[in-house]
Amino acid sequence: MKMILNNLKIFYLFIIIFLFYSLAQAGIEDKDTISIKTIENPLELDEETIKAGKKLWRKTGCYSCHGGNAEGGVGPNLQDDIWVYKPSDAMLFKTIAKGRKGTNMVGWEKELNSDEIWKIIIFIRSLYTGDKSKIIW
Amino acid sequence: MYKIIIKLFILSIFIIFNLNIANAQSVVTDEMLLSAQEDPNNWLMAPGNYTGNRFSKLGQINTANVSGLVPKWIFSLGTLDAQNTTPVIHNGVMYVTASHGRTYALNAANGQEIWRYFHQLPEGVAGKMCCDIGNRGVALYGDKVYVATPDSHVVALNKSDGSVAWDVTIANWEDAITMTVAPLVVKGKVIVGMSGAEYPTRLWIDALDSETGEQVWRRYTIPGPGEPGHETWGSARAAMYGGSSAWITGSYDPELDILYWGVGNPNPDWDGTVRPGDNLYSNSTLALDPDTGAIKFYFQYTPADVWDYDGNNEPILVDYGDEKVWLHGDRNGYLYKIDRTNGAFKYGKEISKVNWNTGFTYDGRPIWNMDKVPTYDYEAKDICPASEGGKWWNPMTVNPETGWVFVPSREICVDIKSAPLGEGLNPDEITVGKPYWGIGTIGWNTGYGQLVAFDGRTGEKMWVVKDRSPFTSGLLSTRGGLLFAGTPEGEFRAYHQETGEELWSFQTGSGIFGSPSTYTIDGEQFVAVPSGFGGWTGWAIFGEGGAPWLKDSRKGGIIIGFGLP
Repeated sequence: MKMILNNLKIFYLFIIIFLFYSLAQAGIEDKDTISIKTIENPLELDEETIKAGKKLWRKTGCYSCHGGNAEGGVGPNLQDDIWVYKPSDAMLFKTIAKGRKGTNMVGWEKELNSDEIWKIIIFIRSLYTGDKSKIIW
Repeated sequence: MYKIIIKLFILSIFIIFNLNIANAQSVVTDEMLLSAQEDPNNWLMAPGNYTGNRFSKLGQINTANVSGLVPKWIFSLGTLDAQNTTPVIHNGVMYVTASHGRTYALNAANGQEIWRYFHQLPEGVAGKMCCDIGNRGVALYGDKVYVATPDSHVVALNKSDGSVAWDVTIANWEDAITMTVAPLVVKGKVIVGMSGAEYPTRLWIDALDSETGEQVWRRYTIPGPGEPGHETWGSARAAMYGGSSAWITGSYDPELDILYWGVGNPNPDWDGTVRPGDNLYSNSTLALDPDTGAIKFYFQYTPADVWDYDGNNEPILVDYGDEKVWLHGDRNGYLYKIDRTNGAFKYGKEISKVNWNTGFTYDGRPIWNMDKVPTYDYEAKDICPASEGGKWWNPMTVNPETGWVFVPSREICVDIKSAPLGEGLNPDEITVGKPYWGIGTIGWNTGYGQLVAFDGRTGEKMWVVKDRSPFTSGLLSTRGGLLFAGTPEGEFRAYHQETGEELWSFQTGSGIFGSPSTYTIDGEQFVAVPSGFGGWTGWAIFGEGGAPWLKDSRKGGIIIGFGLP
């Protein structure tokens, strides 16, 4: 009986370790998935959000490099469909939050929270003048 | 036999190596800086010499043979973004900066690297610079090389190996006070000026001890409370946030013992409502005592600026007989001649079309055309020139032997409406470290570029050469009768000084936004030019766009050394 209990303890211990390991793996996977692959803008492209995004565009000084309406300047044009990387929500979010290595684009995550970054992305989306068939958001 | 050959080979490598070291170790004295114009084999400071004329007495490359000019070597600067430098040369070694404040010493005969200094930048500094992360070059003095970095350090490097002799911090870059200037050494002091007038700042010119980096004096470009001129801002708040940058290298007259240094636009750039008055000393050239920084006199080109006519362009010192003057091409569209003994106005001549004013008072104060003054309720259309001029920041050149001045220019106009905080492009409130332009709407109208030659004595226009794009390089004139100029489309060209005829052209691969210089190695003349598109280029594409074909232009980062075959 004692031996069975001991075996059960080992079994439960194994199960617990397995569960923790699985959860940890899931967490890592979720984190990677959220930050790099499948993250999507939770906000809608509506007038109120566009207005809020434009306000943040001004406050943060995005216009200093990209222009008042993202037509480009020191930084690239964000209205058109000419992008170095596929302009997914995830890519835009990461670029605004973390910056883009090798360019003048610095990360703004110390000044902008996630909600604010999404609002700026909505503002950028609202300015799109490129080929409609290339819209991926 | 083989052993002898190997020994000779090793010995020759040793000699070549030590020649480089020896060249890099030699010193630059006050006397050499004072007579730099008479030493065309070297190019000892970014503006060439203390007059700032960017003229060389070399004539080996001339109007008769320039068509044969070929690239002898190319050096990669290792960075993209604005390559705004002027190569500086001493004893066969070129000292050159790249964007991001990197510094190299090269063998000026073949472009081989001798040493490099990579200043480690704090993350985020590019986000505090309005107009790219360029650098305009180094200064040489004694056994050191001086460079200003984007994060507002001034660093002294040992000429021999690029090791750091001293490194001082003179501003907090997080307040958007940054540096792009090429320092100037005068009487043992390293003179530098600050960038950041697109942000709420109060900027300055510093003199540092060349041996230690210790501050000798600081001249704020906006008078503080109680000082004469403070009242020209309407309020202490406006004065203390009024920008007025100083990022173009000045000039020095040793006979008069006066340092001339330019001051840029007031902040906010396009809204004068919040800073009623002349806004001293924005858009001025200051005549300073180089020992103390005291202002002896000044001339203000655009008082109460609402067009961002950022007047810190270079003053070039010229003698016409007994007449001692400085010539200054301003972004407001005028070429100025000013008496450099007292700051008296001599003339203002149109470089490009000008319609924001209708003339000058006797003392050179512009008379505004109110149709071209933007307000919160009024969009002023087709203001000429646009904020970049006229003449942008890229330095012009003067041939002191003919008295002619050559100006890189553009014919581009702009539509502007200003706006208060919370409207247009403006933030809701002033925040240190955040841009504030005072702009409602702004759009550049399509235009073109031009090179303009004047007889500096009279201001008579001698010739104009038009081009599709603005001329965005600094200029170089030589005794060989040549004028070198570059375009944002990457063309590096030589023109005939007398006629403006194009004699030679070379496609460098990226836009030219720096300045050429010239020197000799073992009797052979070289011309060096940086290539690398960048800087504030909103003028090219905002609105209709001043030159919309420059959208998404190719970046680059090289120095090319040209010579005869």
